[in-house]
Amino acid sequence: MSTTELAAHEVPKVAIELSVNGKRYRREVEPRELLVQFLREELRLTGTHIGCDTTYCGACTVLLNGEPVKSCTVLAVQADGGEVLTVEGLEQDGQLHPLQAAFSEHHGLQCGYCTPGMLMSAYALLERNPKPSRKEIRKGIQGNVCRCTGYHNIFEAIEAAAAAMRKE
Amino acid sequence: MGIRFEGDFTVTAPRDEVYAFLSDPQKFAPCLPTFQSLEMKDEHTAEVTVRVGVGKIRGNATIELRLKDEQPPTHAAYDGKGKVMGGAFNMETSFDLEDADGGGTVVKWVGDLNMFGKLVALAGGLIRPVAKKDIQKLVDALQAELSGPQASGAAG
Amino acid sequence: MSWVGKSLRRKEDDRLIRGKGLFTDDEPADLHLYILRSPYAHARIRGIDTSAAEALPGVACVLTGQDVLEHCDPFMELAPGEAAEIKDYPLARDKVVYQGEPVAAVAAETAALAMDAGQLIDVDYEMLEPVLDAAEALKDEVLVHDNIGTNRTWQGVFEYGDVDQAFAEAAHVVRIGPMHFHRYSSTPLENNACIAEWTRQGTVEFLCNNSFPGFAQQLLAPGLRLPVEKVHIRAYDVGGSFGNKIWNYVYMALAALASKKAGGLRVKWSETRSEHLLASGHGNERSYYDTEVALDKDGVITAIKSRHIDDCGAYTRYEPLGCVIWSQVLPATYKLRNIRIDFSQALTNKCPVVPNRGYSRMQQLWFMERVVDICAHELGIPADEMRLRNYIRDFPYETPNGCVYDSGDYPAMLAKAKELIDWDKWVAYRDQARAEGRYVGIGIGTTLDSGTNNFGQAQIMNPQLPFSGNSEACIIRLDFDGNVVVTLGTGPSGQGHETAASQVVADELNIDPAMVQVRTGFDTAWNTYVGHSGTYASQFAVTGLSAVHGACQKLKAEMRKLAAFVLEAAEEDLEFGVGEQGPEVRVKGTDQFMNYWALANLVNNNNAVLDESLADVTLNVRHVYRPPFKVPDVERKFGNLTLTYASQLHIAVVEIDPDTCHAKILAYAAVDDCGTVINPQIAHGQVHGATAHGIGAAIMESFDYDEGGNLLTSTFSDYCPITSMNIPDVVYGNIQNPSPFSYSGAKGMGEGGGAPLHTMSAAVQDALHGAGIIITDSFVSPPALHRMLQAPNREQAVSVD
Ligand code: FES
Ligand code: FES
Repeated sequence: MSTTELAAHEVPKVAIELSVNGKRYRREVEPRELLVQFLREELRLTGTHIGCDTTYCGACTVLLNGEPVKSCTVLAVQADGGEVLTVEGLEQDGQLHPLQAAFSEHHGLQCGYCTPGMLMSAYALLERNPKPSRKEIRKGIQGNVCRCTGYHNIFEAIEAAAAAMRKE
Repeated sequence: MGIRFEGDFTVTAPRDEVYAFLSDPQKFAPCLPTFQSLEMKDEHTAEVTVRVGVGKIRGNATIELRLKDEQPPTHAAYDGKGKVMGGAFNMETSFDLEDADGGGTVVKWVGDLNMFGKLVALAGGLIRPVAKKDIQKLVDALQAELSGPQASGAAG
Repeated sequence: MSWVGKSLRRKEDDRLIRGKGLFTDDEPADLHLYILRSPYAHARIRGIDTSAAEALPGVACVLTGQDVLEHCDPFMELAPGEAAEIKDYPLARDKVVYQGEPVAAVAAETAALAMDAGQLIDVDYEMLEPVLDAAEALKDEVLVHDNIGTNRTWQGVFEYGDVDQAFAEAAHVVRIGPMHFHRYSSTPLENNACIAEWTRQGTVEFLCNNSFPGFAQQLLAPGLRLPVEKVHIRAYDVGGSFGNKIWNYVYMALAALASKKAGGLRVKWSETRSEHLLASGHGNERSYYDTEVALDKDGVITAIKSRHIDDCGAYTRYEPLGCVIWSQVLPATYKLRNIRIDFSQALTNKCPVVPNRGYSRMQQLWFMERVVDICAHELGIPADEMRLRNYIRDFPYETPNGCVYDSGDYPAMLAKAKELIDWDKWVAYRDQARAEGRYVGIGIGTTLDSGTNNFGQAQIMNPQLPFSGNSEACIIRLDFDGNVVVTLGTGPSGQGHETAASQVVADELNIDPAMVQVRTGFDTAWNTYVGHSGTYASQFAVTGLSAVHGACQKLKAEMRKLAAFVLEAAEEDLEFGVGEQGPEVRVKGTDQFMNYWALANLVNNNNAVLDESLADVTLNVRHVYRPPFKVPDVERKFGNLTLTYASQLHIAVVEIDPDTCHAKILAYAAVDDCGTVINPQIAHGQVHGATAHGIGAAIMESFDYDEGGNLLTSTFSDYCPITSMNIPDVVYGNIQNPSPFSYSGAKGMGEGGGAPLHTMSAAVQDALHGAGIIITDSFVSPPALHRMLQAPNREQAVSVD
């Protein structure tokens, strides 16, 4: 390391401002801080999980400006000015989101570690495609690993939620 | 993971001069493509720092280079070992010098690189092409040092 | 009204679907631990320079092998003989013996800072030659642990019946070349994590995701030189374990030491996925040599002899227990009586193994299924027919080594699976495809999930070990307000223990499961537990729920006694139920009742009115369930090693693309029999989950080492756990043969017995047998199939006399 270069921990913090689940936050973050760390550690929204370090598992999936992203692969500073939706924001006025209800109803979770990421990917899928086929559901969550359920009940849950949402 | 590289190239300088250059880390190390610094530990051992990386993953690697075999003016061998980004590597490299037809020197070289640790899993498949590029750069630099502009050569 | 047998929505879900679970890493701490790991598989440590790391502002402390020597004793070893002398500490001291072994640790104010500091630690290594193959290791040319003088951790011969006689009388003898069960792990999505605090009172408080805290406590306390009662372990939500989280106590010890050195601050360690894959426990790898099979003229197997070598990696953490555990399913589902297996285990310079889902039995079951399929193909007997000729049919069945298979009906499972998959259609499809030169195959895999261990089997491995039997504890009480509160000896990691326990209690008290509170998580200071308590070895449905059931009986007896006194009624005239004022005990056919609040109040607040005869009534009872086990005959290696035997049968149809060598699954059926089902949805979910693990393991997931001992698949991107794109549609079916040995007829079934591995090997072999290929490795990935198609192995792999 040449002497003029700053070590990562010496780089000054950067101010960011963003909205998470409809609430606005202003914080100073290290430039290297990941969005997932920001959510979990700064905001204590620990529903968003971390399952890997190579952008494979999707446990960290959140919506950033309406698009599903793996928040372990987005820097907090990149979310500056953005709108983030996490699993904690799915329930509205004490009402579970139909996806949440369907995951429980169809036993689409066992340990529940993948569930927040799954829900967010499924949420994004149903936003763009209210009536997905099995194949489209598989594709919609292909970036989300579940080690417990074997996926079968997750497919069923997403199908059921889609049907319920169409009726609403 | 072990990889072997070898090749040869020709320079216009005479054998003695080439030998003297290649068997002295203080002379040839600055030709390494991402050379940062060098410190002699003893007469035969140099600690060379280079900048390395694959894609966006970048870091400094320190190589301890030891001249382990000297047979002037035809052959020399180095032992090297280093650490980089949570991994480690060992290398052995040697060269043989022959007079080229029509003057100058042919440098035949071999390098065996062994890597350990995270680096192998993260960048295993990428190392050969990256290393190949760097070797070519090194050969080009050595030729520039030891030849006039007309010399040619290739890494294999 | 019975709640058991219903697919009740799980109680656990309410918090998990809201992102409100409490996983270990969700809890904040003062300091974060980074572990510096060895890049080498085998090297001597000549020196460690930590000065630069220590000088970094924000670093609280750095630990090296020197610290563990000063503050720790090596963890207890289960092995007898030389292997008992292995010194297993939380950090390497003078030598590293596998890639990823912890060498130093840094505690700092943030995780990133701790990692920065870790990069500044300078370790001077002298590389040594690694030994990576178990058979090679048994030659003892390179030693993993120099002080023990050998790499063999255990060796024993399991011999039953008259093997030589059976071979002498055989109509056919089939000899099979070396076979290999590959290294993989069911790797849970949540990595290991713990928070440790070395308090001023000298206790250590852990929050962690260890899945066998009772065992961890017994290992940690002596390791940290503390009495057991000073080590407190809590776990809340655990993001899957599959056995893998049994031995994270090694890291817990490290975090505790860091807390001690940092003056009692709370230290968090959160493993990364790459660390987890590299160094936190792989499944047992096993090789099979010199296999010979004797058969009669009808293809009935009469005897097997072979030599098995298990590779346990660099430390014997739970090993060499695996050297015996497999014998729970010695003959698999087959009726042969003559067996000789010479079993050894070797240390290698690879990641230590852990009890991974299907632990040690699956390796034996895969072996037996390979034997059956290879013999079937070589003798020209269809795979289904071959099984029908060899299946065990009468239950309870005592195996040659004294295990008792409680119940089952393997032919019925086969029939059901064939029906589900539409067998005849696929046979016709396969034959047609073959005629066109395509590689289509159908495979059957039968497997067992033996649950509820008799710990006495450990004595077959090491007669000195002070454990036997099995047990599980439960406390049930009425609290001040009359709520029914249950604490269990186990913490769950996705199996729905809270829900299943509520179902049992609801049935016993004739109330609604919603009226039962099962305490979430596990806490050594709070929960009742016994040495066997934990979530492992498919035992909750039997041991856990039997404990709950037993505790309910005791509580009911007390409630009856109390209510009879107050209501001045005979105990036999009382009944349990729910009335207008909630759960109650009432006099049958009258309007006389006591609700739970009133009962609880009498004991806790208003007890002067009680008679002397009620002095023992506390409404807070503990029950310990003990299955009826005996200590096995250690000399003969004979005895009942497990209480229940759930079974599964899978059928797969595959087609192998000759260009990509990918074995595409065209159809897949799975039938399970776990006796009486407590919660069908949960049981069904376990089958799907285990099926995904098995299919993933068969075609995608493998820990591959290169010749230098580098793990080449140490990230998810290289290891490629199975995703929604690779899982086939699984048609599921269930049959129920209740266990005569559990109160409810239920059997443990969480592990699944690795059925897809057997099934995929069988299907791929069926597809490629015509091309001269015998499947001798459990990993049938595209590269593996490519190699096989380049060099068909049938000539070398099998011979028939
Ligand atoms: S944690 Fe983000 S993809 Fe795995
Ligand atoms: S429910 Fe455990 S990882 Fe999906």
